[in-house]
Amino acid sequence: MSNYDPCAFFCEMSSEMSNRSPKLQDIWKRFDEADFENLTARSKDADLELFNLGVTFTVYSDKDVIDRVLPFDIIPRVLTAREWDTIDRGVIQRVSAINAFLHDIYNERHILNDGTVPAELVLGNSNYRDVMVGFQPACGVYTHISGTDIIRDDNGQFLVLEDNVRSPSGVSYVVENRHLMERSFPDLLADLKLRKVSDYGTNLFSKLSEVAPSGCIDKDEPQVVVMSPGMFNSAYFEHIFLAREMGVPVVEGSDLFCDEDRVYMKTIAGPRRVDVIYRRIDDAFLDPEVFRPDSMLGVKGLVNAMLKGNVTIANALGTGVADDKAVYAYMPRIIKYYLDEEPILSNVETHICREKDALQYTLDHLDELVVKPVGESGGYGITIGPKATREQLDEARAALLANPSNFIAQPMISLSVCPTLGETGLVPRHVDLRPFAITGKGTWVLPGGLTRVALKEGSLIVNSSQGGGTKDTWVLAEDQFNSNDGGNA
Amino acid sequence: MSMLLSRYAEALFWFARYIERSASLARILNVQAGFWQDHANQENWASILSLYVDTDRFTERYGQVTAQKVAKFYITDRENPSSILSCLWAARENARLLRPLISVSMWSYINVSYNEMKSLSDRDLDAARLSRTCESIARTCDAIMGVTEGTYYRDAGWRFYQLGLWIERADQTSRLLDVKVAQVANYNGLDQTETVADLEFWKLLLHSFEAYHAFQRNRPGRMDPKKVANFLMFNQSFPRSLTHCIGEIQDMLNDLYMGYQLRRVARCYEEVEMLQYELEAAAKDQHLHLRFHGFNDMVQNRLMEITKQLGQSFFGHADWSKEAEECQNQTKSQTQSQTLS
Repeated sequence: MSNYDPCAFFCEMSSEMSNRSPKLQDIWKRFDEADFENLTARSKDADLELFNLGVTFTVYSDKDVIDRVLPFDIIPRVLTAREWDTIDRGVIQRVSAINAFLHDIYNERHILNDGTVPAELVLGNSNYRDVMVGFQPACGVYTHISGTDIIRDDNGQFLVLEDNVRSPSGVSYVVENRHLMERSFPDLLADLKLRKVSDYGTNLFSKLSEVAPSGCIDKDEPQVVVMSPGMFNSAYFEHIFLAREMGVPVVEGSDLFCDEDRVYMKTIAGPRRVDVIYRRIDDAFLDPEVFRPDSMLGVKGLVNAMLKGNVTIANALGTGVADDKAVYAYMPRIIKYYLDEEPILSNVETHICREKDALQYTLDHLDELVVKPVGESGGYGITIGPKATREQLDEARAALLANPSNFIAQPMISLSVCPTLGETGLVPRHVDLRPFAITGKGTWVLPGGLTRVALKEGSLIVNSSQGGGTKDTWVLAEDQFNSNDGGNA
Repeated sequence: MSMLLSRYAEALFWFARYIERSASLARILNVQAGFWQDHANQENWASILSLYVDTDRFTERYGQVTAQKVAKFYITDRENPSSILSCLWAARENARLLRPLISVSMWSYINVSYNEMKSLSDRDLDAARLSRTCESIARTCDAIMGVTEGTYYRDAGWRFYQLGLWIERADQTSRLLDVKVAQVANYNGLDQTETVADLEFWKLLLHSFEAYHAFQRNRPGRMDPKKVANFLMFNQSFPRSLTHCIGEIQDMLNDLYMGYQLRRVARCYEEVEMLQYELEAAAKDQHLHLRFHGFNDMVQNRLMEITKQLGQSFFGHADWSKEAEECQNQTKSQTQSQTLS
């Protein structure tokens, strides 16, 4: 055995192996006992392959295009069948509650009227879209594609850190990472029964077909398209991936136009009707008639066509209210409110600084808490109390006092770790998990999801924009306990 | 399968043109490189500049014509939009846009090729290496077309790819002949007794088209300038001749009309037919050499017209609002006929 030491953190590979699944022991041995030089060499080949295959995100400069590979770590993150069952049910529960919540706030507003969630938090939210009031989307679905960011604490308990119900990205890496593992490390995957990830596109297509609008002429074969801001977008690869896996065109705003409240795409045979748009551009850019008039990416008249029931926009407009960090704090109550169930996945304890007591608590414990601005994404603007300098804490205090409702605070959660290929051996690095759920006439969750890893020693920030990488996520098809094994209790 | 987006059709068309253009340029430079040491060479390198109407742009940036500078201008100079590197860059950006349609191996190959091209240095363009470099670029382009041929699904898009390829090829053939023949006509005119130097010239010309062997098989014996020119322009079976290229363009338009019911092919087809008549007339014209430049100008203009017409008919360079009404009416009549049947 190597000298791999996860310290006090929960290790996704080596902690409580016998309790979780006897299979973990076997998998850990495969990597722990593999020749390190050999793993390193093959890992470099894998990176080159990703580059050549164009599994890249794109950075543009004046004269050239730079394609970068999101760093890929070859040691997988493993979830047992039982762990996955919890996540799967938890994510479905959460997405159901969010769709019910969105329906409510754009219609009767029960949850606001009875004060369960403060009305101004929702109605005053910059992502609340008045245009959606009273509109009934197909199948009652608002967030068709969602990603739930989940972390694991020292006790191995899964906690939801954030919901992403606008336009979550990263699913292409889940599928491509598995393909890469299968090609590059068939020996390490041999004889393992893992849940497959390759049918994401098929499931996405059938769920999107289910939500074809009422005005769709051919309900058996609705025309689905992926709408991209274009190849200058850093996630263009993922847009292509989604279209390819579904077998539908990638369109840009300029490929579409509206006429008499119907949406058409420009083809070589003239205009063709479009029924469902999986859009990967923000609300604000969708329709220059309704939102930003300067948007070059959108389509004039798109929102009207949607309101007339002639096109489904997925995800719907105005879902951003539900994944706002301030609304997040109410999510356990939202689940209970609509489903009358206890949350299967807990939130991280959250202090809403707009509330007086919470603000005071936050100010009193600033050096113990993680303070996050509610509007930002990508890990920007976060103050990690226990690691901050005196000056940084003072800055955070000033910002909090200036605009308290812009912040939430959470206790410092130590993310679980996973063995990762380091310079000289396997080292523990922090990881999170983003499972992807697709909702049509029901919700399906892709087994596993995107495991992001903070490649810098000690770092807790897994975002790709700040030095994070990805791992393949393995979900065991069965945990293979022997009948007399205590772990199955 | 849903109907091909106009934007994709256009990208396929230009993807083909950029690859074909790069290959052609590499071939021309390669033949030139073989005669690097030649005395009259300065002029030959200059003639490449006039072939692409680049003399002014070149002089402005590079001054005096030398082999090395012209090679740099046409191979690795990203400031020159018609250099091979720029063409391959444009081809790759079109391919990037086309990634939902093309095979992974096709994208991967283009990507790798472009990255190799980008790493070429001035050393790869010196007298000792230029020929080998050009050779390998031409082979790379051939291979990209090979991967495309071997993996691209034969949808309507394939026809637009082919249209791009054949239009570019016809254009390159016409340009190269125009400049080369003007060059030799400056000395003595087409139908005078040729000197030994001329013989070399015609051989060289055939080599720039990789046509030497095909020509010899067809026309054993003495190398007659008229025969060479006629072969390169009007031979039915030589894949770079104008006649062959135009035939392929017609086939592709037929496919689009018959196989995909694209009514608007008609307008392009008319343009191509007119070009075809001109070619037939030229093939019979005993005095073509007297109006050779005018003839090639006409060919190039017609090819531009065809490209413009493709843009209007298929690439969405026309007015869409009227067409929506048409589509709406069609859908109505379709629904009606479905209800009737």
